[in-house]
Amino acid sequence: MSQTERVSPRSRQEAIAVISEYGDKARVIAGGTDLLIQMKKKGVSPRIFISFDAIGDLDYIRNDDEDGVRIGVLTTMRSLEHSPLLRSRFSALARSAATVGGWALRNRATIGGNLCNASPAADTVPALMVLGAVLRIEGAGGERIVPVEEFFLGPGRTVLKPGQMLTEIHIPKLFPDQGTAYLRQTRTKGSDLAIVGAAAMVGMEEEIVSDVRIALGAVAPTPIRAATAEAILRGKKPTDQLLNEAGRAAAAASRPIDDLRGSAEYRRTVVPILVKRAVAQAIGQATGEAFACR
Amino acid sequence: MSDLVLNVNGSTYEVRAKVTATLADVLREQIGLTGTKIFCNEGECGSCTVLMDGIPVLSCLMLALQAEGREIQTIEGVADPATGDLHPIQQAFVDHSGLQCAVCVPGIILTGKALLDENPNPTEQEIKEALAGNLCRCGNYQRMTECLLVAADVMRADAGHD
Amino acid sequence: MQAMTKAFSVLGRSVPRKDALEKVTGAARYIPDIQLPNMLHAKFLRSPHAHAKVTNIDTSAAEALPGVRCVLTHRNVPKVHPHRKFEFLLGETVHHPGAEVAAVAAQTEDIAEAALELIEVEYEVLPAIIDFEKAMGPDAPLAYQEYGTNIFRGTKLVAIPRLEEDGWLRLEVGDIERGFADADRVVEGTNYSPMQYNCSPLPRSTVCEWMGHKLICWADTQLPLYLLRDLSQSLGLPQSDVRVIANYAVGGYGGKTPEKIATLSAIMAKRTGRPVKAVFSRAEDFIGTHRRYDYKNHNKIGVKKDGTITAIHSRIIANWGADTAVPYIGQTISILGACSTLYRSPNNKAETVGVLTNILDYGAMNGFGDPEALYALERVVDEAAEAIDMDPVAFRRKNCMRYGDRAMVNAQVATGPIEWGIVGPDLDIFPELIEKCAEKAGWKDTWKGWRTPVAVDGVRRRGIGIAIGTHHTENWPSSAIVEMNQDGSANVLSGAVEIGQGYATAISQVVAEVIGIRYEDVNPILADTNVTPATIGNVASTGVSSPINAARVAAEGVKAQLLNLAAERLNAPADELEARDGSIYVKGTANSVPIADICFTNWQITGTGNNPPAHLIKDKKTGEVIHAYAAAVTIAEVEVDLETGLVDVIRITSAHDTGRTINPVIVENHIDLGLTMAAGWVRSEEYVVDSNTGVMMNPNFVDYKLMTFLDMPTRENTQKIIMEKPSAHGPFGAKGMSETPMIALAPAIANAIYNAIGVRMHSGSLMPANILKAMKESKLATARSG
Repeated sequence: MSQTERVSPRSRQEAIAVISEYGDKARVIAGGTDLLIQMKKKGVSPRIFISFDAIGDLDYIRNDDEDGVRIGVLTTMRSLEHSPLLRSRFSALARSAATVGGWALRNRATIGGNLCNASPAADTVPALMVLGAVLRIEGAGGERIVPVEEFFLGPGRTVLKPGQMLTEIHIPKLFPDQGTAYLRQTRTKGSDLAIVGAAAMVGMEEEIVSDVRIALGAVAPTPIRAATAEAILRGKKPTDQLLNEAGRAAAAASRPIDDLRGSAEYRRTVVPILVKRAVAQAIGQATGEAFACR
Repeated sequence: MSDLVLNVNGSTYEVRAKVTATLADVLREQIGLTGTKIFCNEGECGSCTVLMDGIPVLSCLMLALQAEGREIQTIEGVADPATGDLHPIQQAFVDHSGLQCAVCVPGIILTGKALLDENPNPTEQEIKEALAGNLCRCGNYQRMTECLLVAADVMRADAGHD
Repeated sequence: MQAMTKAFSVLGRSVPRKDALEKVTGAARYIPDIQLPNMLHAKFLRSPHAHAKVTNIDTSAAEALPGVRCVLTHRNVPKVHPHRKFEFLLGETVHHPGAEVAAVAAQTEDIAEAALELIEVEYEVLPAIIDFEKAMGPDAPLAYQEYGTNIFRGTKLVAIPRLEEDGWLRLEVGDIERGFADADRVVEGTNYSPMQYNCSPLPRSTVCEWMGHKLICWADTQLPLYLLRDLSQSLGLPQSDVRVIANYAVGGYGGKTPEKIATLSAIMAKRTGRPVKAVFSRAEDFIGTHRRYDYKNHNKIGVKKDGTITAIHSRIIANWGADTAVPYIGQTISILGACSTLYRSPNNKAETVGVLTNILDYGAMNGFGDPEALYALERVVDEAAEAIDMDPVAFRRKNCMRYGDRAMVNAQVATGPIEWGIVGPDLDIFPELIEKCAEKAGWKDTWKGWRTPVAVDGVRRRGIGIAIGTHHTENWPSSAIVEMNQDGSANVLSGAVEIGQGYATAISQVVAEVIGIRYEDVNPILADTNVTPATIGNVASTGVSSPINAARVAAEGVKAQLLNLAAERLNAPADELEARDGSIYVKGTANSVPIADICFTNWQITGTGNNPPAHLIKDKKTGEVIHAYAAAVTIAEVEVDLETGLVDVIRITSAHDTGRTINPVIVENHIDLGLTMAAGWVRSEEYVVDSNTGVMMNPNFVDYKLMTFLDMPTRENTQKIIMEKPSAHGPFGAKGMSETPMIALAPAIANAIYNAIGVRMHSGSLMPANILKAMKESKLATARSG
């Protein structure tokens, strides 16, 4: 049995230095909830762990009135779920974080982990997409900012190169007349993966959709934006018919597969339903009045 | 192999374990605290739940080394260490048969304890949401919810609330 | 809840469980918690193929790995048939994915697992048959080449005498053709009942240790006696050299046996001279144990306009998988219970066949035969009621089983001869059970009639549905011993097992009640074959009817001795004495002597007892043999989202008869277990088998979803009704009913969905995709015919 080493940086700076140094010779363990699964089920057996448990300055949710909100990558799902700031103004993110596993899992799972694990069904990602989030990458090659849409390359794959790490998520300011929502379809109401996830951000200006983003999870190799669906709604007065049309466009944009959670056909059936309901909910949050859709 | 020092139920344990050992394995095999149960071993059932600095975590999804320097509480540490008196949640489970095979029970008692420490007056819905990650194959959900409500009443009364 | 408890001191009270304290403090030791000095860890290599010959197996590299102490293959284990199945202990031919091919014992689990990787197996892959309907065809590959057919016809070890030439088992009463001719309306339907994984909270585990030539096996099993017999036969040992200890075991919800790991571990322990512990991984428990079997059911029912049933014809094709340790048992329960006796029908034909396929074999699971059959039958019963526009509650109330109806031990269906007895007087309450359930569920105010949902709210439809059932509680030979301690407390020794169902508690309550001492003063000693008298274990709802009844008899023997001894001291004849509150009293006086005093001077007070055999329990009126059934009535209210197919179960009302309730809270917990398991079976627990390879695709909880805290209705919306009418069987008239709560909820949900959306489900699962599919197909069918 080979010896396994462990390195424990104690700050963001140290973490960046350690990651840069070890490159892909080491595996990062933050909350560990994804890595432990890979170790148990996929035989992943790291020789060197870079453990993030001792880092104190990457767990934060900071309101920055100019710029919206900044979230450290080691912020847990539980913190996101309960953050008064997120719940009041960026509710799709709080909502999506609340759906990840059970309470005990959310106490350890981090937003950084959810992003870097790059599951096509990751719950927080569609929410981050409709919130216009950008990600800060640091380490080998210097610092850069990447929109969340551009972060994923495929199932389990991101643009992070060896020696790089995510450090922060930045969500720009949302105006009071912009509402958000995250809905998902699961098999049970407990800990479950999304069969389909749908997030929406809608800005309303005098009964017209001034601004809209729609993102889908679990229906493509990565979470995706539904640009055609957005175009159908943008600048128009929302009606049942329009929302249904947008939903169908979103289904057309999705590329679901058959897997154990659901068939492609079922997913394509559910996408338009969740999309129109998410859009309706976001409209309701934007206007302060429930928007019923049929 | 590496040497670990863990603080469990107020006692210090020096153990020797693989670096890749999970906290659940070390608690059960090295330390001999077998009250923490392995039902699924993949973080989906909550039976391996322990409290770390008072909050529930899945011990089968943590490396033991991640628990160093933290305070771990397992089911064996819930009763009063000085008197052996049961915690009100344990007492409620005894008095009202909140158990059948009881494999899920340690994880549920600990999660329930963390819930009541945070929210002394939860509704049925809040209890069920807090425990949504804890599976019970014996289907004892309703009874365990009742036991937690009973325990919450007792704890509030003990604390002098209304 | 009916209050029958005034006459009793401890019976009928929700006393705290005997096992509660150690379980809530984490002190209770389950089998995987056992650690013995110098213990080795066992792991098992499993076939990836559904059907294959092991043409070569090279274990040299595994044996050479430091820390490996023993490797077993078919070459160095006895050629025996554990559990009387086709397979050998480790075979040269495997018949389902996951079948054991080799076993390793090593210093640590990691080393054992590494050793498995080093074992090189060459397989000659044979044609496999996965689909059980296709398996019946003439050109289908054979699941067992040696056997010559996929239709089970019995083996040398297992005879099913009543199987007919074509391999079907049939039970006929009257003349069904005439019955259908007499009917005003005839309905029929084909419905599938799906597989389910037992999912014991602890995967299988055993620890085997030898003391000289004696074997001790700690086993997480419901069936210690069965395991003892199996070990003794497989290892060629006299039964007196084998000791099985099953404390604490954990619900298998059916036949939790260690499968082959006990025998293999015992062999490795003998050869190495060290204890061997084997604990399945969860994935292994999914693929290496057994499962509920799946059925294709066809039911045809003839009815008259007034609701009388004139004929029922049921055909069940059961997917056995790769043989079974419990051949035909579930099916006989189906064709006798659900199909022939649940409803009063003068003309009945129920037939069934078992089909071998190369997937994991079936075993017993909660309800064993009744849930599978009722899930189909109760849907067609609703169709029959609809055909005559009769309220489905009223239809069932009119036709349900009651006192005097024909009944029989289900084993006779397979072995014969057919000797009909009757349903006992306790089932007279079945109609009342239905009424009470309907009343509590608010049926009259809720059900709006056929093809009319309860409520419409946008895309949501609300529906209500009912199903009923009975489960035959078995009666098996059991013995028990009660011994008094010098302080007046009592030990009760029984071979049955505390698996979480409350056995230790119930047996103690009965003994305390009989002897007249406190519940707290009864000490249950269970499931240690060196110590406890024989009983098969805990299965088929027999705990109450059999081993606890034996304990009652033993306790009565003790009481008789106490009364005789007290008679001397109290100067009164024994028949003027009674035992209560820890003393023996002269009836109607305060003249008494404490039981403890008697025990202090007479310390050899021991009683043994056997439960009365079933065939001796006869009806007072007719002299006929009475057979024990427990009844269930379940009403479910659901809400269906027409756009997503999601079904929410909003309300469940479930009514059950216990004969006599020993511990009300424990009975309610049993009901919750059955309801939750039944809901999961059809709403979320999809057991996915690859149709080409036979491999189970979701052996984990990411994709095999159990009901959670949030998936069942609120406590207020889960109403349980318990009725008591003493049964002729069992202690104080209590009967086994712990499986009965499983049997009626699934069809009630299916019937409620029909009420909500007007579309009948015929597939096994009620998952959203299937709901949408059924709705789509129904629209197409309507469009085509319209």
